[in-house]
Amino acid sequence: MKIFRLRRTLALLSGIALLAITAGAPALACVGKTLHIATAGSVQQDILANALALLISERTGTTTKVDRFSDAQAAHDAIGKADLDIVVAYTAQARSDILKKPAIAENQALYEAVREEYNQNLNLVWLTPFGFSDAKLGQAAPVARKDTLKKFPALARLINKLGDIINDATMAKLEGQVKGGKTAAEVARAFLKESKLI
Amino acid sequence: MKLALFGVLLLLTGACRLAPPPLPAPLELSDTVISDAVTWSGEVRIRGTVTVKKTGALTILPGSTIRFERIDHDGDGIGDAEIYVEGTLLAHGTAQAPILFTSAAAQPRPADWKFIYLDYARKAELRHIIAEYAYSGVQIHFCKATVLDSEFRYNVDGVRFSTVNIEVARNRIHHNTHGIRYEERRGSGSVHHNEIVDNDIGIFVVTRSDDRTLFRDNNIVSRQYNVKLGLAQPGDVTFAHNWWGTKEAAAIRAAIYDHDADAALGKVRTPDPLPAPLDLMLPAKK
Repeated sequence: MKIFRLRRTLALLSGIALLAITAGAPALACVGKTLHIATAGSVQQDILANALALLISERTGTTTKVDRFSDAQAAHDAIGKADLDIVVAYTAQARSDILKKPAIAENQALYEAVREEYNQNLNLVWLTPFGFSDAKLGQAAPVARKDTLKKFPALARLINKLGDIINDATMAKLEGQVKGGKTAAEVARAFLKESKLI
Repeated sequence: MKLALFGVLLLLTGACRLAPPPLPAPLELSDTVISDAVTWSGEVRIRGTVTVKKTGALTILPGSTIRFERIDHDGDGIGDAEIYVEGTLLAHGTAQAPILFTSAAAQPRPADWKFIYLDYARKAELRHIIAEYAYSGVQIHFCKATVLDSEFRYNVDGVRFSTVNIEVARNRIHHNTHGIRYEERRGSGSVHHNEIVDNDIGIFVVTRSDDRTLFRDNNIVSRQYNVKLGLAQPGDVTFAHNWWGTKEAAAIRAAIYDHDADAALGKVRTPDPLPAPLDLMLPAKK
Protein backbone atom coordinates (compact mmCIF):
# COMPACT_ATOMS: atom_id res chain seq x y z
CA MET A 1 0.00 0.00 0.00
CA LYS A 2 2.86 2.31 0.92
CA ILE A 3 4.60 1.46 -2.35
CA PHE A 4 1.42 2.26 -4.27
CA ARG A 5 1.16 5.67 -2.56
CA LEU A 6 4.83 6.37 -3.24
CA ARG A 7 4.38 5.54 -6.94
CA ARG A 8 1.30 7.76 -7.13
CA THR A 9 3.17 10.64 -5.48
CA LEU A 10 6.10 10.21 -7.84
CA ALA A 11 3.81 10.15 -10.87
CA LEU A 12 2.10 13.31 -9.63
CA LEU A 13 5.44 15.06 -9.05
CA SER A 14 6.65 14.04 -12.54
CA GLY A 15 3.48 15.51 -14.03
CA ILE A 16 3.95 18.76 -12.14
CA ALA A 17 7.61 18.95 -13.23
CA LEU A 18 6.66 18.46 -16.88
CA LEU A 19 3.96 21.12 -16.61
CA ALA A 20 6.44 23.50 -14.99
CA ILE A 21 8.91 22.97 -17.83
CA THR A 22 6.39 23.44 -20.60
CA ALA A 23 4.22 26.16 -19.06
CA GLY A 24 4.34 29.44 -20.86
CA ALA A 25 5.92 28.04 -24.00
CA PRO A 26 3.63 28.80 -26.91
CA ALA A 27 3.22 25.57 -28.85
CA LEU A 28 4.05 27.02 -32.24
CA ALA A 29 6.58 29.59 -31.14
CA CYS A 30 9.45 27.77 -32.76
CA VAL A 31 7.95 26.54 -35.98
CA GLY A 32 8.82 29.62 -37.99
CA LYS A 33 6.05 31.97 -39.07
CA THR A 34 7.26 34.30 -41.79
CA LEU A 35 6.57 38.02 -41.44
CA HIS A 36 5.83 39.76 -44.72
CA ILE A 37 6.96 43.36 -45.17
CA ALA A 38 6.00 45.49 -48.15
CA THR A 39 7.96 47.75 -50.38
CA ALA A 40 5.95 49.90 -52.74
CA GLY A 41 8.81 50.03 -55.22
CA SER A 42 10.73 53.27 -54.59
CA VAL A 43 14.38 53.20 -53.47
CA GLN A 44 13.32 54.72 -50.16
CA GLN A 45 10.70 52.02 -49.63
CA ASP A 46 13.20 49.30 -50.56
CA ILE A 47 15.68 50.53 -47.96
CA LEU A 48 13.13 50.91 -45.17
CA ALA A 49 11.44 47.55 -45.89
CA ASN A 50 14.83 45.82 -45.88
CA ALA A 51 15.84 47.61 -42.67
CA LEU A 52 12.66 46.38 -40.97
CA ALA A 53 13.08 42.85 -42.34
CA LEU A 54 16.72 42.62 -41.25
CA LEU A 55 16.11 44.14 -37.84
CA ILE A 56 13.33 41.66 -37.09
CA SER A 57 15.08 38.58 -38.45
CA GLU A 58 18.46 39.41 -36.90
CA ARG A 59 17.14 40.28 -33.45
CA THR A 60 14.36 37.74 -33.03
CA GLY A 61 15.24 34.95 -35.48
CA THR A 62 11.80 35.27 -37.05
CA THR A 63 11.93 34.76 -40.80
CA THR A 64 10.99 37.81 -42.83
CA LYS A 65 10.22 38.34 -46.49
CA VAL A 66 10.11 41.61 -48.41
CA ASP A 67 7.20 41.61 -50.87
CA ARG A 68 7.20 44.09 -53.75
CA PHE A 69 4.07 46.04 -54.71
CA SER A 70 3.43 48.50 -57.54
CA ASP A 71 2.30 51.35 -55.28
CA ALA A 72 1.13 52.33 -51.81
CA GLN A 73 -2.52 51.53 -52.57
CA ALA A 74 -1.66 47.95 -53.62
CA ALA A 75 0.38 47.45 -50.44
CA HIS A 76 -2.46 48.91 -48.35
CA ASP A 77 -4.95 46.54 -50.00
CA ALA A 78 -2.67 43.58 -49.26
CA ILE A 79 -2.25 44.44 -45.57
CA GLY A 80 -6.01 44.92 -45.35
CA LYS A 81 -6.44 41.33 -46.55
CA ALA A 82 -3.78 40.10 -44.07
CA ASP A 83 -1.45 39.13 -46.91
CA LEU A 84 1.14 41.42 -45.31
CA ASP A 85 2.24 42.19 -41.77
CA ILE A 86 4.03 45.53 -42.06
CA VAL A 87 4.11 48.41 -44.55
CA VAL A 88 5.92 51.73 -44.53
CA ALA A 89 3.29 54.47 -44.87
CA TYR A 90 3.34 58.27 -45.04
CA THR A 91 1.00 60.43 -42.98
CA ALA A 92 -0.20 62.91 -45.63
CA GLN A 93 -0.62 60.21 -48.26
CA ALA A 94 -2.54 58.01 -45.83
CA ARG A 95 -4.84 60.89 -44.89
CA SER A 96 -5.64 61.90 -48.47
CA ASP A 97 -5.36 58.74 -50.59
CA ILE A 98 -6.36 55.99 -48.18
CA LEU A 99 -8.68 57.70 -45.70
CA LYS A 100 -9.95 60.28 -48.22
CA LYS A 101 -9.97 63.01 -45.58
CA PRO A 102 -8.98 66.68 -45.82
CA ALA A 103 -5.36 67.61 -45.20
CA ILE A 104 -3.99 68.58 -41.79
CA ALA A 105 -1.06 71.00 -41.88
CA GLU A 106 0.60 70.36 -38.53
CA ASN A 107 2.79 67.24 -38.51
CA GLN A 108 2.02 65.87 -35.05
CA ALA A 109 -1.72 66.50 -35.37
CA LEU A 110 -1.69 64.74 -38.75
CA TYR A 111 0.19 61.74 -37.32
CA GLU A 112 -2.24 61.49 -34.37
CA ALA A 113 -5.26 61.73 -36.67
CA VAL A 114 -4.18 58.97 -39.07
CA ARG A 115 -2.96 56.80 -36.21
CA GLU A 116 -6.33 57.04 -34.49
CA GLU A 117 -8.30 56.37 -37.65
CA TYR A 118 -6.16 53.37 -38.69
CA ASN A 119 -6.35 51.89 -35.21
CA GLN A 120 -10.11 52.30 -34.86
CA ASN A 121 -11.26 51.43 -38.34
CA LEU A 122 -8.55 49.38 -40.03
CA ASN A 123 -6.96 47.40 -37.16
CA LEU A 124 -3.59 48.78 -38.19
CA VAL A 125 -1.09 50.34 -35.80
CA TRP A 126 1.14 53.28 -36.68
CA LEU A 127 4.47 52.90 -34.90
CA THR A 128 7.05 55.62 -34.20
CA PRO A 129 7.95 57.61 -37.36
CA PHE A 130 11.47 57.07 -38.70
CA GLY A 131 12.31 60.75 -38.32
CA PHE A 132 12.23 62.18 -41.83
CA SER A 133 9.50 63.81 -43.88
CA ASP A 134 8.66 63.84 -47.56
CA ALA A 135 7.34 67.21 -48.71
CA LYS A 136 4.36 65.67 -50.51
CA LEU A 137 3.78 62.43 -48.64
CA GLY A 138 4.39 63.46 -45.04
CA GLN A 139 6.20 61.62 -42.25
CA ALA A 140 7.19 58.01 -42.89
CA ALA A 141 6.40 55.36 -40.27
CA PRO A 142 6.05 51.60 -40.04
CA VAL A 143 2.45 50.41 -39.90
CA ALA A 144 1.71 46.92 -38.61
CA ARG A 145 -1.33 44.69 -38.37
CA LYS A 146 -2.78 44.61 -34.87
CA ASP A 147 -2.99 40.82 -35.07
CA THR A 148 0.71 40.56 -35.87
CA LEU A 149 1.64 42.73 -32.89
CA LYS A 150 -0.52 40.57 -30.65
CA LYS A 151 1.21 37.42 -31.89
CA PHE A 152 4.67 38.96 -31.41
CA PRO A 153 4.40 41.07 -28.25
CA ALA A 154 7.99 42.36 -28.43
CA LEU A 155 7.71 43.43 -32.06
CA ALA A 156 6.45 46.99 -31.54
CA ARG A 157 9.24 47.73 -29.07
CA LEU A 158 11.80 46.36 -31.51
CA ILE A 159 10.50 48.24 -34.55
CA ASN A 160 10.34 51.45 -32.53
CA LYS A 161 14.13 51.25 -32.19
CA LEU A 162 14.11 52.59 -35.75
CA GLY A 163 12.01 55.56 -34.57
CA ASP A 164 13.52 59.02 -34.89
CA ILE A 165 16.92 57.76 -36.03
CA ILE A 166 16.65 58.48 -39.77
CA ASN A 167 16.52 62.21 -40.44
CA ASP A 168 16.24 63.82 -43.89
CA ALA A 169 20.01 63.90 -44.41
CA THR A 170 20.47 60.25 -43.37
CA MET A 171 17.66 59.08 -45.65
CA ALA A 172 19.17 61.03 -48.57
CA LYS A 173 22.57 59.48 -47.85
CA LEU A 174 21.15 55.95 -47.78
CA GLU A 175 19.24 56.52 -51.03
CA GLY A 176 22.42 57.87 -52.59
CA GLN A 177 24.25 54.64 -51.71
CA VAL A 178 21.62 52.56 -53.52
CA LYS A 179 21.72 54.85 -56.54
CA GLY A 180 25.49 54.44 -56.40
CA GLY A 181 25.19 50.70 -57.00
CA LYS A 182 24.71 48.99 -53.62
CA THR A 183 21.62 46.91 -53.01
CA ALA A 184 18.94 48.14 -50.62
CA ALA A 185 19.63 45.14 -48.38
CA GLU A 186 23.36 45.94 -48.21
CA VAL A 187 22.66 49.58 -47.38
CA ALA A 188 20.07 48.66 -44.76
CA ARG A 189 22.39 46.11 -43.14
CA ALA A 190 25.31 48.54 -42.97
CA PHE A 191 23.06 51.24 -41.47
CA LEU A 192 21.69 48.89 -38.81
CA LYS A 193 25.15 47.66 -37.95
CA GLU A 194 26.51 51.20 -37.72
CA SER A 195 23.59 52.08 -35.44
CA LYS A 196 24.40 49.01 -33.30
CA LEU A 197 20.91 47.69 -33.86
CA ILE A 198 22.12 44.31 -35.18
CA MET B 1 31.09 -26.75 -82.47
CA LYS B 2 30.31 -27.83 -78.93
CA LEU B 3 33.44 -26.09 -77.77
CA ALA B 4 32.46 -22.83 -79.53
CA LEU B 5 28.99 -22.96 -77.97
CA PHE B 6 30.53 -23.54 -74.57
CA GLY B 7 32.80 -20.52 -75.12
CA VAL B 8 29.88 -18.26 -76.02
CA LEU B 9 27.94 -19.42 -72.98
CA LEU B 10 30.95 -18.82 -70.79
CA LEU B 11 31.32 -15.27 -72.17
CA LEU B 12 27.64 -14.52 -71.62
CA THR B 13 27.81 -15.81 -68.06
CA GLY B 14 30.86 -13.66 -67.41
CA ALA B 15 29.18 -10.58 -68.86
CA CYS B 16 26.18 -11.18 -66.66
CA ARG B 17 28.41 -11.51 -63.68
CA LEU B 18 30.17 -8.20 -64.48
CA ALA B 19 26.93 -6.16 -64.80
CA PRO B 20 26.14 -4.33 -61.52
CA PRO B 21 22.94 -5.30 -59.81
CA PRO B 22 20.12 -2.87 -60.54
CA LEU B 23 19.66 -0.20 -57.87
CA PRO B 24 16.42 -0.47 -55.94
CA ALA B 25 13.94 2.25 -56.85
CA PRO B 26 13.84 5.05 -54.29
CA LEU B 27 11.04 4.97 -51.78
CA GLU B 28 8.80 7.92 -52.69
CA LEU B 29 6.60 9.45 -50.00
CA SER B 30 4.12 12.30 -49.93
CA ASP B 31 2.17 13.08 -46.72
CA THR B 32 2.71 9.90 -44.72
CA VAL B 33 1.91 8.73 -41.19
CA ILE B 34 4.10 6.14 -39.48
CA SER B 35 2.32 4.44 -36.57
CA ASP B 36 4.46 1.32 -36.08
CA ALA B 37 8.06 0.21 -36.64
CA VAL B 38 9.47 1.23 -40.03
CA THR B 39 13.02 1.00 -41.38
CA TRP B 40 14.39 3.09 -44.22
CA SER B 41 17.46 2.29 -46.24
CA GLY B 42 18.85 3.33 -49.61
CA GLU B 43 17.23 6.39 -51.13
CA VAL B 44 14.02 7.95 -49.81
CA ARG B 45 12.36 10.91 -51.55
CA ILE B 46 9.90 13.02 -49.55
CA ARG B 47 7.32 15.38 -50.97
CA GLY B 48 5.21 16.46 -47.98
CA THR B 49 5.20 15.72 -44.26
CA VAL B 50 6.24 12.36 -42.85
CA THR B 51 4.78 12.12 -39.33
CA VAL B 52 6.07 9.53 -36.87
CA LYS B 53 3.21 9.17 -34.37
CA LYS B 54 3.65 8.36 -30.67
CA THR B 55 3.31 4.66 -31.43
CA GLY B 56 5.68 4.83 -34.39
CA ALA B 57 9.42 4.16 -34.59
CA LEU B 58 11.47 5.16 -37.61
CA THR B 59 14.91 3.60 -37.96
CA ILE B 60 17.18 4.87 -40.73
CA LEU B 61 20.09 2.66 -41.72
CA PRO B 62 23.66 3.82 -42.43
CA GLY B 63 24.31 5.12 -45.92
CA SER B 64 20.70 6.11 -46.54
CA THR B 65 19.94 9.32 -48.43
CA ILE B 66 16.74 11.20 -47.66
CA ARG B 67 15.91 13.79 -50.31
CA PHE B 68 13.24 16.44 -49.72
CA GLU B 69 11.54 18.03 -52.71
CA ARG B 70 11.31 21.80 -52.77
CA ILE B 71 7.61 22.57 -52.35
CA ASP B 72 6.29 25.81 -50.85
CA HIS B 73 2.51 25.83 -50.68
CA ASP B 74 2.19 28.97 -48.53
CA GLY B 75 4.78 30.97 -50.47
CA ASP B 76 6.77 31.95 -47.39
CA GLY B 77 10.07 31.05 -48.98
CA ILE B 78 10.54 28.01 -46.72
CA GLY B 79 10.12 24.52 -48.14
CA ASP B 80 7.27 22.49 -46.68
CA ALA B 81 8.72 18.96 -46.79
CA GLU B 82 9.67 17.67 -43.35
CA ILE B 83 9.94 14.74 -40.94
CA TYR B 84 7.88 15.34 -37.80
CA VAL B 85 8.52 12.98 -34.90
CA GLU B 86 6.36 12.41 -31.84
CA GLY B 87 7.45 8.78 -31.45
CA THR B 88 10.95 7.38 -31.96
CA LEU B 89 13.63 8.37 -34.45
CA LEU B 90 16.85 6.39 -34.57
CA ALA B 91 19.13 7.71 -37.29
CA HIS B 92 22.44 5.99 -36.66
CA GLY B 93 24.85 6.34 -39.54
CA THR B 94 28.51 5.45 -39.30
CA ALA B 95 31.63 7.47 -39.98
CA GLN B 96 32.05 5.61 -43.27
CA ALA B 97 28.35 5.61 -44.19
CA PRO B 98 26.57 8.66 -42.76
CA ILE B 99 22.88 9.28 -43.34
CA LEU B 100 22.32 12.25 -45.66
CA PHE B 101 19.25 14.51 -45.34
CA THR B 102 19.30 16.92 -48.27
CA SER B 103 17.38 18.85 -50.88
CA ALA B 104 16.21 17.10 -54.03
CA ALA B 105 16.71 20.31 -56.03
CA ALA B 106 19.31 20.37 -58.80
CA GLN B 107 20.61 23.66 -57.43
CA PRO B 108 19.92 23.41 -53.72
CA ARG B 109 19.76 26.36 -51.35
CA PRO B 110 19.04 26.87 -47.63
CA ALA B 111 15.39 26.30 -46.62
CA ASP B 112 14.58 24.05 -49.59
CA TRP B 113 12.99 21.75 -47.00
CA LYS B 114 11.73 22.53 -43.53
CA PHE B 115 13.32 20.33 -40.88
CA ILE B 116 13.60 17.14 -38.91
CA TYR B 117 11.30 18.18 -36.07
CA LEU B 118 11.31 16.30 -32.78
CA ASP B 119 8.32 17.33 -30.72
CA TYR B 120 7.71 15.52 -27.42
CA ALA B 121 9.50 12.62 -29.12
CA ARG B 122 9.69 9.42 -27.12
CA LYS B 123 13.25 8.70 -28.20
CA ALA B 124 15.50 10.66 -30.52
CA GLU B 125 19.07 9.74 -31.43
CA LEU B 126 20.92 11.26 -34.33
CA ARG B 127 24.42 9.99 -34.97
CA HIS B 128 26.63 10.35 -38.03
CA ILE B 129 24.04 12.21 -40.05
CA ILE B 130 24.49 15.10 -42.47
CA ALA B 131 21.65 17.64 -42.70
CA GLU B 132 21.90 20.32 -45.37
CA TYR B 133 19.76 22.91 -47.23
CA ALA B 134 16.99 22.84 -44.60
CA TYR B 135 15.34 25.68 -42.74
CA SER B 136 16.58 23.91 -39.60
CA GLY B 137 18.81 20.85 -39.89
CA VAL B 138 17.08 19.60 -36.78
CA GLN B 139 14.61 21.21 -34.37
CA ILE B 140 14.13 19.59 -30.98
CA HIS B 141 11.43 20.59 -28.52
CA PHE B 142 10.11 19.19 -25.25
CA CYS B 143 12.08 15.95 -25.26
CA LYS B 144 15.37 14.24 -24.54
CA ALA B 145 17.71 13.85 -27.51
CA THR B 146 21.29 13.22 -28.58
CA VAL B 147 22.93 14.77 -31.61
CA LEU B 148 26.40 13.29 -32.06
CA ASP B 149 29.19 13.02 -34.65
CA SER B 150 27.13 14.74 -37.33
CA GLU B 151 27.37 17.60 -39.79
CA PHE B 152 24.92 20.48 -40.21
CA ARG B 153 25.65 22.79 -43.14
CA TYR B 154 23.95 25.27 -45.51
CA ASN B 155 20.82 25.61 -43.36
CA VAL B 156 19.19 28.67 -41.84
CA ASP B 157 19.50 27.08 -38.39
CA GLY B 158 21.96 24.21 -38.04
CA VAL B 159 20.75 22.80 -34.73
CA ARG B 160 17.81 24.41 -32.94
CA PHE B 161 16.23 23.44 -29.65
CA SER B 162 14.03 24.62 -26.82
CA THR B 163 12.82 23.08 -23.56
CA VAL B 164 14.93 19.94 -23.91
CA ASN B 165 17.38 17.67 -22.22
CA ILE B 166 20.03 17.42 -24.89
CA GLU B 167 23.59 16.43 -25.69
CA VAL B 168 25.17 17.96 -28.78
CA ALA B 169 28.71 16.66 -29.21
CA ARG B 170 31.47 16.17 -31.78
CA ASN B 171 29.50 17.75 -34.61
CA ARG B 172 30.62 19.96 -37.45
CA ILE B 173 28.18 22.87 -37.65
CA HIS B 174 29.16 25.24 -40.41
CA HIS B 175 27.94 27.64 -43.12
CA ASN B 176 24.50 28.15 -41.56
CA THR B 177 22.86 31.47 -40.72
CA HIS B 178 22.72 30.34 -37.07
CA GLY B 179 24.98 27.46 -36.07
CA ILE B 180 23.07 26.67 -32.89
CA ARG B 181 19.88 28.48 -31.97
CA TYR B 182 18.19 27.79 -28.67
CA GLU B 183 15.74 28.85 -25.99
CA GLU B 184 16.35 27.10 -22.70
CA ARG B 185 12.96 27.64 -21.07
CA ARG B 186 14.15 25.62 -18.06
CA GLY B 187 15.48 22.79 -20.20
CA SER B 188 19.10 21.74 -19.94
CA GLY B 189 21.89 20.51 -22.15
CA SER B 190 25.53 19.86 -22.78
CA VAL B 191 27.12 21.18 -25.96
CA HIS B 192 30.73 20.10 -26.19
CA HIS B 193 33.56 19.26 -28.58
CA ASN B 194 31.80 20.74 -31.59
CA GLU B 195 33.32 22.65 -34.48
CA ILE B 196 30.92 25.60 -34.85
CA VAL B 197 32.59 27.63 -37.58
CA ASP B 198 31.81 29.85 -40.59
CA ASN B 199 28.21 30.46 -39.54
CA ASP B 200 26.85 34.02 -39.67
CA ILE B 201 26.02 33.69 -35.97
CA GLY B 202 27.69 30.86 -34.06
CA ILE B 203 25.23 30.65 -31.16
CA PHE B 204 21.93 32.52 -31.10
CA VAL B 205 20.45 32.66 -27.59
CA VAL B 206 16.88 33.63 -28.42
CA THR B 207 15.25 33.93 -25.01
CA ARG B 208 14.72 32.58 -21.48
CA SER B 209 18.15 31.05 -21.02
CA ASP B 210 20.06 31.02 -17.75
CA ASP B 211 23.06 28.72 -17.99
CA ARG B 212 21.31 25.37 -17.73
CA THR B 213 22.82 24.54 -21.12
CA LEU B 214 26.59 24.26 -20.83
CA PHE B 215 28.74 25.10 -23.84
CA ARG B 216 32.28 23.92 -23.19
CA ASP B 217 35.29 22.81 -25.24
CA ASN B 218 33.95 23.97 -28.59
CA ASN B 219 35.69 25.82 -31.41
CA ILE B 220 33.41 28.77 -32.18
CA VAL B 221 34.52 31.10 -34.96
CA SER B 222 31.82 32.94 -36.91
CA ARG B 223 31.37 35.34 -39.80
CA GLN B 224 29.47 38.01 -37.82
CA TYR B 225 29.01 37.19 -34.14
CA ASN B 226 30.12 34.17 -32.14
CA VAL B 227 27.30 34.67 -29.64
CA LYS B 228 24.26 36.84 -30.09
CA LEU B 229 21.43 37.43 -27.61
CA GLY B 230 17.90 37.71 -28.92
CA LEU B 231 15.67 40.66 -28.16
CA ALA B 232 14.02 38.87 -25.23
CA GLN B 233 17.14 37.63 -23.41
CA PRO B 234 17.67 40.08 -20.55
CA GLY B 235 19.58 37.59 -18.37
CA ASP B 236 23.32 36.92 -18.47
CA VAL B 237 24.67 33.71 -20.03
CA THR B 238 28.05 32.00 -19.68
CA PHE B 239 30.19 30.16 -22.22
CA ALA B 240 33.29 28.90 -20.44
CA HIS B 241 36.36 27.21 -21.86
CA ASN B 242 35.81 27.56 -25.60
CA TRP B 243 38.06 28.69 -28.45
CA TRP B 244 36.80 31.94 -29.99
CA GLY B 245 39.18 32.35 -32.91
CA THR B 246 41.50 34.64 -30.97
CA LYS B 247 43.29 34.95 -27.65
CA GLU B 248 42.65 38.69 -27.41
CA ALA B 249 39.96 39.62 -24.90
CA ALA B 250 38.88 42.69 -26.89
CA ALA B 251 38.52 40.66 -30.07
CA ILE B 252 36.45 38.03 -28.23
CA ARG B 253 34.17 40.81 -26.94
CA ALA B 254 33.86 42.35 -30.41
CA ALA B 255 32.33 39.13 -31.74
CA ILE B 256 29.54 39.14 -29.15
CA TYR B 257 26.21 40.95 -29.39
CA ASP B 258 24.87 41.58 -25.90
CA HIS B 259 24.40 44.27 -23.27
CA ASP B 260 27.23 46.34 -24.73
CA ALA B 261 25.17 46.88 -27.91
CA ASP B 262 21.71 47.04 -26.34
CA ALA B 263 21.32 47.84 -22.64
CA ALA B 264 18.10 45.81 -22.48
CA LEU B 265 20.04 42.59 -23.11
CA GLY B 266 22.00 40.47 -20.68
CA LYS B 267 25.74 40.07 -20.70
CA VAL B 268 27.63 37.20 -22.35
CA ARG B 269 30.45 35.93 -20.13
CA THR B 270 33.32 33.95 -21.64
CA PRO B 271 35.55 32.82 -18.76
CA ASP B 272 38.66 30.71 -19.34
CA PRO B 273 38.82 31.11 -23.10
CA LEU B 274 41.05 28.52 -24.74
CA PRO B 275 44.38 29.82 -26.06
CA ALA B 276 44.21 27.75 -29.25
CA PRO B 277 41.66 25.70 -31.17
CA LEU B 278 40.96 22.24 -29.86
CA ASP B 279 41.95 19.32 -32.03
CA LEU B 280 38.55 17.70 -32.06
CA MET B 281 39.49 14.79 -34.32
CA LEU B 282 36.08 14.85 -36.00
CA PRO B 283 35.26 12.55 -38.90
CA ALA B 284 36.40 13.86 -42.28
CA LYS B 285 33.95 16.07 -44.18
CA LYS B 286 31.85 14.16 -46.70
